[in-house]
Amino acid sequence: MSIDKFKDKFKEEASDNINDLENALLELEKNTTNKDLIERVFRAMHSLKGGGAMFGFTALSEFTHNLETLYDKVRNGLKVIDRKILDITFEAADHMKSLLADELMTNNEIKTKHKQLAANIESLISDDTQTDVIPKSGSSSESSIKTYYIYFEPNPDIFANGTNPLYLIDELNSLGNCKVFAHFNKIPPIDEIDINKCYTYWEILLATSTDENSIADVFIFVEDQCKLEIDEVADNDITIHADFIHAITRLAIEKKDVGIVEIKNLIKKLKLNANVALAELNEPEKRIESSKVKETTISSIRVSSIKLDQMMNLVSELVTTQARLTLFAEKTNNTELNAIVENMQKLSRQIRDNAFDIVLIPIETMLIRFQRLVRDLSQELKKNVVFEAIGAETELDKTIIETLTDPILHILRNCLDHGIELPEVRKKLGKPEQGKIILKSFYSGTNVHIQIIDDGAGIDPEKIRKKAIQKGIISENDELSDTEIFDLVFMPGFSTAENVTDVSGRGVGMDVVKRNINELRGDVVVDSEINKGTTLTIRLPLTLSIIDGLLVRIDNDLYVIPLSVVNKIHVVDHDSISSKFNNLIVLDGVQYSFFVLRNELGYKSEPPKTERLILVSYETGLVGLVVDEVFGENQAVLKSLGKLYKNQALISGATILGDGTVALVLDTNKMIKKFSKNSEIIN
Amino acid sequence: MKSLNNIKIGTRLKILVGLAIIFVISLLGFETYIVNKRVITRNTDLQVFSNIDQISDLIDHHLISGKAQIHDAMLILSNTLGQSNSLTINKGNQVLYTEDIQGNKTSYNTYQWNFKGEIINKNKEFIKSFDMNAGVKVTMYQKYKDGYLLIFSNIDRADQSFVYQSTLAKSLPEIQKIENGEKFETLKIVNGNYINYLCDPIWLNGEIAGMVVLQNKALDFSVLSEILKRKKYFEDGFVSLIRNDGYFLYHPELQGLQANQYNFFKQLAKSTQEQNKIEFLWPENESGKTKFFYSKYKTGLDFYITIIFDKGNLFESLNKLVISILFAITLAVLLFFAIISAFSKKLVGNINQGVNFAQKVSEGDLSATFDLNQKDEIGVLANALNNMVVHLRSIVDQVNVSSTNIASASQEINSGSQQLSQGANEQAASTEEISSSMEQMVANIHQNTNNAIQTEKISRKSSEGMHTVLNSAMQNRRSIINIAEKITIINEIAFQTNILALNAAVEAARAGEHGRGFAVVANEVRRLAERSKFAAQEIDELSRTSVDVNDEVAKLMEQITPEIERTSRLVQEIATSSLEQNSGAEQVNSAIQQLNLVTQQNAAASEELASSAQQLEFQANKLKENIRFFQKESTILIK
Amino acid sequence: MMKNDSLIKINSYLSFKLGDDEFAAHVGKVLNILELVKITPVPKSPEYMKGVINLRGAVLPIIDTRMKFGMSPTQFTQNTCIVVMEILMEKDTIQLGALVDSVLSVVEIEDDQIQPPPSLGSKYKSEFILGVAKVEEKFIMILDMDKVFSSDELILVMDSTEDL
Repeated sequence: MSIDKFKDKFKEEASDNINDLENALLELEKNTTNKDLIERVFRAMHSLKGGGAMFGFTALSEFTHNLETLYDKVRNGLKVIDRKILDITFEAADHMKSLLADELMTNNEIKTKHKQLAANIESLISDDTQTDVIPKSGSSSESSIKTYYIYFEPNPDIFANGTNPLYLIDELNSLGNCKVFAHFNKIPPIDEIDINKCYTYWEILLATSTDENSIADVFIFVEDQCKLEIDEVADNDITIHADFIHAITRLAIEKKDVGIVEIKNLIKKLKLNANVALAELNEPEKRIESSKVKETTISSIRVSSIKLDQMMNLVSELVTTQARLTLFAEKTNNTELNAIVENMQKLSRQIRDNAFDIVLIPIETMLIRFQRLVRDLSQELKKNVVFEAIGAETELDKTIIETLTDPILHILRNCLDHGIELPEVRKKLGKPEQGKIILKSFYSGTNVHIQIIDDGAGIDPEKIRKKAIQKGIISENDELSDTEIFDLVFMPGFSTAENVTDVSGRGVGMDVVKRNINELRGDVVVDSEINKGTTLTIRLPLTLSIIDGLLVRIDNDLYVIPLSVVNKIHVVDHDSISSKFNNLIVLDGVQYSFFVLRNELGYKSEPPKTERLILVSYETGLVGLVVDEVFGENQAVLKSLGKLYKNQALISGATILGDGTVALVLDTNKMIKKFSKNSEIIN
Repeated sequence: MKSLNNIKIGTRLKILVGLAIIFVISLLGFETYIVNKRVITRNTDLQVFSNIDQISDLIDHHLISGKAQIHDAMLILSNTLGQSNSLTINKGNQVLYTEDIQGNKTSYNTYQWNFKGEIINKNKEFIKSFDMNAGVKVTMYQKYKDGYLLIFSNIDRADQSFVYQSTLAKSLPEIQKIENGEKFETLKIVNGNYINYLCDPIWLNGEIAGMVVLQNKALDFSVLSEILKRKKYFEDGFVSLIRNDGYFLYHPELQGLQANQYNFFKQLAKSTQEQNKIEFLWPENESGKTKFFYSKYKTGLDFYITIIFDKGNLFESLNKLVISILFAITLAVLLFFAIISAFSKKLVGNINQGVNFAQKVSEGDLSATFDLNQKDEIGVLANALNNMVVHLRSIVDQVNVSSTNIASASQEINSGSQQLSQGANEQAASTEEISSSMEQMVANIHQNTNNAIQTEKISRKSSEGMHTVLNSAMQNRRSIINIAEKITIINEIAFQTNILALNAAVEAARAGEHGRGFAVVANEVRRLAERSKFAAQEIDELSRTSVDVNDEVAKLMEQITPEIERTSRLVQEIATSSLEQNSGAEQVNSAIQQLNLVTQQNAAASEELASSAQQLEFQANKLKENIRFFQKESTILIK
Repeated sequence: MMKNDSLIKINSYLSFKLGDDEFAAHVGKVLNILELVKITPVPKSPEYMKGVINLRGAVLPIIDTRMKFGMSPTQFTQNTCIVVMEILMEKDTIQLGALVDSVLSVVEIEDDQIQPPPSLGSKYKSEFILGVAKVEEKFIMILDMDKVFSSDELILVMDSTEDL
């Protein structure tokens, strides 16, 4: 491997490190005293410095060294994180990215910036007078942990309410370190046991940073059905002391109840007071920390995305070849071969699913860029905005995420620029000064929805209308629904902002956004209410390349219906179908509307006597689709029909079957929507 | 059996009926004897046991009267002693008693008892002042510490039949009763005597001071014997009482002796029944008589009440009955014989007359008669025999006439049958001639058939040949079509090569100058592909025409084939029909042979017929001779 | 693949037949010639768009060139071929298969052999025709394939004043 390859590798790692650094900084901004976070920042810098020196990124290495010195001071309590430090670190992180791209600083601009930043950092290190300290409630997050003694004895008939006391204890466990002593001495002899009664009671030591009230909240629903005592016994986490736990466990075994008095005595005896304990406390914490680091390094490896793409292509080929093999095996009718083929099919399906999993990455990975954008831009625009991500763990195909980042960035820019008002305006409107942008992601069937929700000014449909008329997109007489009006936003060359800023509003953008999303087989919808906010919903397929489908026949052509929407298959007589003019059929006592695909798709040939009705999910209910024959399950490698068929709404793509012929994959949602519009029967 | 038939009928009847009477009367007598014996035995048993019960009742009566006596005595005694202050105890004076039981001497002191001033202790006289039955013995006891001490008794030591003891322990049953202030009563058996024993407490100043014991004989056998002696059963039967140890309490002769040595007692002792009946010999040897021994056990008194009597006495009358039955049988048999003899004499005489008549007829004398003027069975028989002879006479006449007729007819048959025989012989000769000429004809037909079969084989072969030709034509056609198919493939290849070459040309053209050389090659390839395509088309056409020609041939062949097949079929039919003809001729031939055989048989049969007719004539004449044996007139005998 | 610049310098053309007329396309546009395979129709699409086929694992749309030119639909014969072409469409390069009655050959036509299309008297619209060349006594119309296939309209080539 040449040194260049090593350099590339380092660059990848370094950009990851910078990402992590930014991430940690963003969190540190919220909680400036968190030692964990400071440690994280420090570690990221340290890696950058070390790697940089090794692979010849001297400038980077030196630059980071200074920063590291700064954070070393913070770590050792010589300095406190303040706005100044944070700002400079953010700037430094950006600069590091530039340095990675241009290690020799050929660009003068970078060079100047480098010098300036280095100087600033130097001055910060030497400046011992602390100003602008960000105050923080609760001086120390670590020492706020207290240990509580909880005595919990449920009434015997607690089960009658359907309460499981163990869930309550689980909940306690989630609040902090928890030591639970269950007592069984009230359990009667076996012949007297009533299985509907609870005889067990518990003593629990809970070390938590939450206060007594929130502990009591755990028991809020059983308050009047149990004996409950909650007492603070120590101002630190005493559950980590082996001696203490050992002693108390012995007590619990020997005596029926340990009791609060005993515990307090023990604490006194073992001198587990806060100040004394603190020194010891650091020891186990560190241990935990180091083990975490270890775990993360082992659990993943880095693979280049080109390799992943290649693998996906190969998997697609494999699936197609597998289909051919299956077809051949069926024709050959050799049982041994069939068994092997079946096994092969199973394996290839697993490989396929695995490959998908590999190329699925969480939306989280995009977040840092969004957060940075919101932070930087809101400062620049003098707006107070908080960015929140819900469901960031939602995963999407790597290529989708890659294509999606820019459109979302653009949407966010729009939100910040046009959506969120200036604090004064918000105050006048009676809204909180701080605006809010939420990025919400969630699964819906085989789709992923990503919503960008802001609580800003909203879009005035009337304004859009006027503008559209002005631009000649619609005529004065066109009557449009709100949704249709909002859709105009995505028309090319459309921008409603009164002042074109350098951030957005240049009129290019939203049409590109829509096109990009459409290319991913997704769509985008805007919903808005004046002064309440705007919600932009992007709907995307989970993956691009392979779907599980149901292979069906209409006339002589084969079609694939995504298995994810298929609910049930019924056999129906053609006569019984054709006699229903209102396209409604009752199956298993439920009425469904249905469409005969051979009619809808324009086939003229004679239909078979018995047909198959496939119930597919549509919106909230089920709709029947009538086909000639159902062949069975099929893994379809989805191929685009190409630009020539871009107006084709019913077909989401094509797939190549085992025998080399092409089957079309139906987009049931769009199809049903279109048919219903045609027939005017469903909404 | 034969010897029985030789005895005269009368005698036979006598013996049979006599035996029957003897058997019936004997049976009746025996039955009567058995029934009577059973009845007598049962009645005797009932009677004897009821007698025993009477004796038992008698003994019970004696017991009751004994009890009454002792109770009366106790009443008197207690009344007398119970008079106020008549009985006192002087504790100051003590009386010494010495008891001697089999040499064991014990001494004790009692208080002095007074009755109306008189000392009671050892004073036998004072009791005499009481008006009491002499048989009742009195004993008095004083209560002392753990028991009772004797103070007075009027029983003599010599009187073995009663009991008294000087000291009585508290544990004794009588003492326990007395201590409760009650009476005690029991029946004691002392030295074989039955004693009533009655105790009563003596009350003094409200306390029990002592007790009185009264005893008397419960059964006095001297009195009982007198009564029992008078009882007699079945002449010599008598009563006896035997104790369960075998001692005869009462017996008219053996009183006071032991019975356990005798067999009947041994049998009795073994039995667990209350009532017993034993049969035994007395005296106990072979000359002894059989005796019946009835007994009943008297439970409370432990003895058997028995009645014994001679068995012979009981069945005397029955034996007499047997003798009288035997006598009656003898008498009845004798009487029967007398009556039967008288009847049979008359019956035999008539039968002898019939026998004589039958002998005459058997000698051919049809004039004999059997007249008997009687209406009974024998009379009827005589009439029937007479009628029979009359009928016989007329039959003999008829036979005589008929046999003459048969003789003349058989002569005629004889001459006719000889003529028939001659005709049959002539017929046989002519059928033989027909048969030989028929055989000649069959041989000719056979030759014909063989020729037809040969022809058929040849025609079939030619038909098969035609088929082979046709098949070959078909195969030829398939081959050509195969070639055509292959040509299509070549054509296809040529087409694809063409496209490939075109693609190569495009590719070459796109490569510009660099591809120019290649473009030439690609064009060359294309041209070659085109040429092979044309060649293939030519072959295709050629093969098409060749298929047509072939099809023409096949069509012609197909047309000819059925003609040949038809010829073959016709020849086959000829062969079949000549085969049929052959078998038909053979059938005719065999029929003629059969005819020949039958004709010859006919000739033989007619000859046989002639000889039979001669035989017949001879026999008819012989019959006529024979019939002359019978006498036609009652007076003329032909011999 | 070669850059367009170099391809333009080449003066080779693929000639093919539609009905009785001969046409030619620059080999730079032609990728491949395929024999006829089963075409999967795409419902609810214009009639001249015959459907799609499997081209070595990719989906290739097929266009009935005759119909696009306003002639009667292509009759499938042994000579019917699919010419795979690369067309510039709204700045993107796309691939499509054009049905032709038969492919003739690759011919070299020097630029000076090409005459401008006759503006009058031709039954084809001149805007789609780059020029006319006479090869072996026959006239071949050289088509501008990008223009022919990048438009959605149906009757393009045929001059509306004339009928075939």
